[in-house]
Parts: sequence; structure tokens; C-alpha cells
Amino acid sequence: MNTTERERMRAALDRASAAGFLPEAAAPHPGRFVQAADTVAPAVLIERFAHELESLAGHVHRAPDVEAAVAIVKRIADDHGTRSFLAWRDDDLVREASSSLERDGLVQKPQNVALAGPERVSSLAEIGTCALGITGADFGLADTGSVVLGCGPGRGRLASLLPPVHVVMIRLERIVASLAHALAADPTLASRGSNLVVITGPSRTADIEFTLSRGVHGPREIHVVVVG
Amino acid sequence: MSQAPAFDRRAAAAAADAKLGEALRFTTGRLQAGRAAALAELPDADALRDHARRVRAHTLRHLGRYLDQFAVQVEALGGTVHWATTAADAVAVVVEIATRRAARLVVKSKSMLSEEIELNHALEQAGIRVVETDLGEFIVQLARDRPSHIITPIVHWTREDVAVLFRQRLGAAEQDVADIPAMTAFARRLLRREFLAADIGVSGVNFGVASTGSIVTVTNEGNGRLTTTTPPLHVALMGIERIVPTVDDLEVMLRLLARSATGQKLSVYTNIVTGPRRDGEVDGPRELHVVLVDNGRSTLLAGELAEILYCIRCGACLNICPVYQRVGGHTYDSVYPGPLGSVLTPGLHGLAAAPDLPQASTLCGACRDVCPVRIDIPRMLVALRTSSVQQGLGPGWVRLGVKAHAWLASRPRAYRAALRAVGVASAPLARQGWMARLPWPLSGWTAHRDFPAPARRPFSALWAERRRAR
Repeated sequence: MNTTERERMRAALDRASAAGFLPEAAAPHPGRFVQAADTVAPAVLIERFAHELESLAGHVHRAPDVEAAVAIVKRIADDHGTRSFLAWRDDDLVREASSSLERDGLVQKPQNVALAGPERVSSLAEIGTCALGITGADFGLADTGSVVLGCGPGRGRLASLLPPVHVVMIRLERIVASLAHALAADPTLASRGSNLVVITGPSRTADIEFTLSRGVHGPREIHVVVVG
Repeated sequence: MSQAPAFDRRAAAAAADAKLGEALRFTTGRLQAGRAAALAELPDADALRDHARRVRAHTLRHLGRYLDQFAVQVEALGGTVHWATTAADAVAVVVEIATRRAARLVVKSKSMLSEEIELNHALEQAGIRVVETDLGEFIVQLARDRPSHIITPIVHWTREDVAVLFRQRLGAAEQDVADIPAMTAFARRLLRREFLAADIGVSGVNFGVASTGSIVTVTNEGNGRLTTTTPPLHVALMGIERIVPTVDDLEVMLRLLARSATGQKLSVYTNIVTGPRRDGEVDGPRELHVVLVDNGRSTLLAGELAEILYCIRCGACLNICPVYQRVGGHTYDSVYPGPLGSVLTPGLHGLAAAPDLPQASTLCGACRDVCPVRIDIPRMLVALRTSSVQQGLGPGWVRLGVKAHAWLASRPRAYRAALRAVGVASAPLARQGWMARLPWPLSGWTAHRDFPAPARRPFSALWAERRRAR
């Protein structure tokens, strides 16, 4: 916006970049990093994913079909005495679970946060009371036990952020070896929506005496229900 | 700013603090072990580090071009980019954004850059309440303390200290501070209210991606996500060197960052923001401002210390440093402590502002060995020491000593005579090749260890004798 300031900084930078001692800067950009070997063999993707996430105190549930997956989500909701929940609207797995919970009398809160004004504050307060958030995921990452969530219409950020319990529903074939594999399979992944988050375990801190405690700002519990 | 002897005094006080020593040993030890294990688990960690180093080098050589590309992308998505040459410029931009919208409450996720430009103070002066949301930074702010580590800011606090603070300043009940999980839950409740009420979220930036205009913040607690999601306006403060060319380059840096910092494979939340909330999306801020801050970086980039800008802020050099381990972060009296800070701080603000920092190292090279992008910190510390002598900084006796040595070393006869004199004079003090006690001003050395006795006859004399015998 401030063109003169930009031009002044740019001119200074070009002079500086040319003058400074930058070891190994003469070579061109090294391109994509080619790994010596895959960190995870295709046959053991789900085992590795479960191992990594469970070592971070995350929970992994296997379901042979959608019906079984929905039953698992209902059980998690029951265990936490959930009365209202927040869920993605455009994911077919999540829709099945949401409808089932609603038939049981649970209330699904609207995801939409008003852009401005008092409506914005009240919609946030409303969402803030949900005990459970249910989302899908673009990918699961076996080498780190992560889930990758791109936001978009019907796929809010808050469902995986505000409630103390986060349930992710994902199909088995979406679990890949690593973030590098996910990006290779889907090159516009990072920038298709205004937000992409890679979630690796429950929210945690070790700021006080280097002692781990969970659920500091994000969810205290994360459950990944793998279908297939 | 700080004066030359101040570092020594602070170091002595810190080293004598047993509680601090215990906390530092424990935390840095755990972080070091975590890092080593996490890197060993990668099949090709060394190749990955070499690759990352080349990406950083290339990016800085073409920094202006990549910043342009980044700025064009951010603006194409509907964000606004501000260019700030100085700390004052950057602060003025943020204060103006806040006052124009009559903001009353700003929530912040951890940003070293905001401490560097002293943003909180300026916002408070403008009548705006600022709340730090990283648990450690929240405690630091509440206690009006300063962070002592770039990753674990309150390594110098105990749980009892935090409990007392929460009771006194926040009126916490006994059960709110019963243990660490209770204190964490208490802070969560309190800060959640602030997140939902905030007018502006201010975040730092771990990486900016030039090809997509994305801003990446990495946190474990989730405060980085909340800061960039619940308020209607997001301000991202970004040092100009934080850019990476592509998403693939970002992935390489992410693979190294958490492993080097804490031994995690990835931090809990890797949060990638690409522009403000879009049509049809259900949440997220509708306004995004990115402030690109120079504040001395282009001056650094032009000189022999440019390599310090390769840094990805993992903190591994702090944890491994034998000096940091014993004196802690506050002793450095600098926003960026440890080996990285001992180059960065004088590099950004001039040697006169931090004349003692380049001396706060044994030059053992451990920092270079653990650096994920292999920055040669010892080389730059030596370069800074050279400049320090050239600029006439540092204690007078050091300059005098260096001058005396230069005079002596360039006069072979006088030099040999001096060596012989030392050999003779020290002989009565030596026992089996060692001296247990030296007279002032050398007594400081022998207070804690013996000093090797000089040879009775110098090497030059023995050498001459051998040549004659042939």
C-alpha cells in the first residue's frame, strides 16, 4: 500500500543481497527434496498412523463401514455427555454421523460466524458452548500421526478448535505416508481455502516446569475414526 | 543499553542460583535428547539439513524478488501488505490499524518480532489492552518479567511461582492452582473469554510462502490458531527473512523445525493461513494485514553476518550451549538469547548495543553442529570480536593486552626474551608441570583450577639447539 516505503526497502534489499556473505547462495534453488527411502511402507500405513497418534495420547478407532463409524462417534458423544455439537456440513461421513446424533436428540449448532457486529460475538459464544466437534480430513499422515484439514464452505475451522473433544472421520485410503506425499498427491492443498491446518495430537503445553498438560487452548482429546 | 561488565555480573548471579541451574539442566537436557532422537529417526537427516541450508541461502540471495512475489499473492487474495523499515514504522502501522478500528482488545500469539519492536508497550500507550496467549508468555506478561528462552519462555519459573502469581494477580482459588493441569485449565478458561471478545489478533510468522502468499504459524497449545481465527482482523508480523519460495520448501523446513526445537515430529498445530476469509467460508477473519519488518535485517544481509538470517528459530543452539546451560536467557539481556542472539542482536542493533555478547561463548562449535541449517555461528562470533577490537569497544585491559601482544609478537628478540623470563619467573610456582596458585591479576584462573606451567626452556630454544646438533 505504501509504495515509497516498499521501493525504499526493495532497493536496500537488492543492494544487500548482492553484497552480503551468503555461503552456498551461488547455487540455484535445489528443487524438491528427494528422500532416500520412504519412511513408511504402504502396507503398514494405518498401523504406523495409529502408533504415532496413540503415542501422543490421541485415540484411533477402526470401523469396517460407515455404520460402524457412526456408532463409534455416538459412543464418544455419549461418554462425554454431549448435548450439542459442531460439525462439518459438506463431508459425507460427517453428515451420516451428524444426522444420527440429531435423531438421538443432540443439537447441531450452526458453524457460521457473522462477519461483524454483535451477531459475530453472539455466534462465537453460541459455538463456544459445544462439547464436541466433528470434522472430516483431507489426509492422514502416517509418519507423524497427523490429520490435515482444509477449511472451505461447510468446513469451518472452529469445529476442530473450540470444543474440548475433536472427532475426525476419515477413509482408510486417505492415509498417506507423510506431508510430502500429501502435497505431491494434491499440489493446491495448502492454498485452496483460507486455512489449512495439520493437527498432530491433542493441544498441549510444557511451559511450566517442562511438565506436559493437555487441552490448553485447543481440544484436550482427539479421536480419529478410520473407515474401511 | 547494557555495559560491558554487566554480562559477567549477571552470569555470576545466574550461575549461583541453584534453582535456576536445576531447571536449566533439566529442560535443556530433555530438549537436547529429544532433538537427537527425532533427527536420528529420519533416514536422511544430513541430506535434509544440507538441502534446507541451500534453500535458505538461495532465498536470501533473491530475497527482494521472493518478497515481491509473496506480497503480490497476499494482495491478490484480498490481504494488505505493509513494508516497515524500522521498528518504529512497524509499530506505527499496527497502532494505526488498531486505532482506526477503535479496537479495545488485542490477543497475541507468541512473536519474538513483537518483542523486538516492543509492540505491546505502544498499543497499551494507545489505550488498547494486549493479552499474550501462549501460556508461558501470558505468565511473563502478568509478572512483568521477560522470556528467557525462545521456545520455553518461563524455563526459570517453578510451579509454586506460577501458583502464587495466579492467586495474587488473578484471584485464583486454591483448587485452580492445585497442580499444573489445574493451572493450565484455569488459564484456558480465562484466555478463552479474551479470544472470543478480541477485536484484533496479532501473530508472528514462522514462514511466509512466496508462491501462495501463505502465512505459517506453528504452535502446540492452539493459541496460534485461535489468534488467527476468532478475531475479525488478523495482523501478522513477519521478519523479511522468514520467506520460503514454495510449499515444498515449507515442508522441508517443517520436517526440521519441531524435531530440532523440542524433538516432536511436528508441532501440534501447523497453521497455514492463505488470505482472509473467502466468500462462502463460515469462519476466520475478514481482514488480513501482513507487516513486513526490516529493522536492521537488510544491513545484516549486506555484511559478513548475513548467514545468521538462515536461522529458522528452533532454539537448538541455546539448549546445546555450555554457556546458556549455566547462565540462562536473562543473562544475555537480549530479545534473542543464546548463540543465535549473540550474533543477531549486535548484527541488528550494532555492537555498541551489545558489546559483551560475542564474548559469551567458548567457541566450542556445538551450536554449529546442532543447527538444522548448519549456520557457522562461531565464525561470526569471531568476526564480531574482531570488529569489537577495531571499534575500540570492550574493556580497556583487553585492548591494552592485545596491543602489548602485537608489539611483542612482531619483535622476535623481545619475544624470545619474554618467554625465557616467564619460564624462569614461574619455575618456583610450578609442581610437576602445573601451577596451583598465580598472583593477581591471574589468580582468578587458579581459584578454580590449576594452570599448566610454562616450559623452563621455550620451544624456540630447544629447536635452535636441535638444529645446531645436526
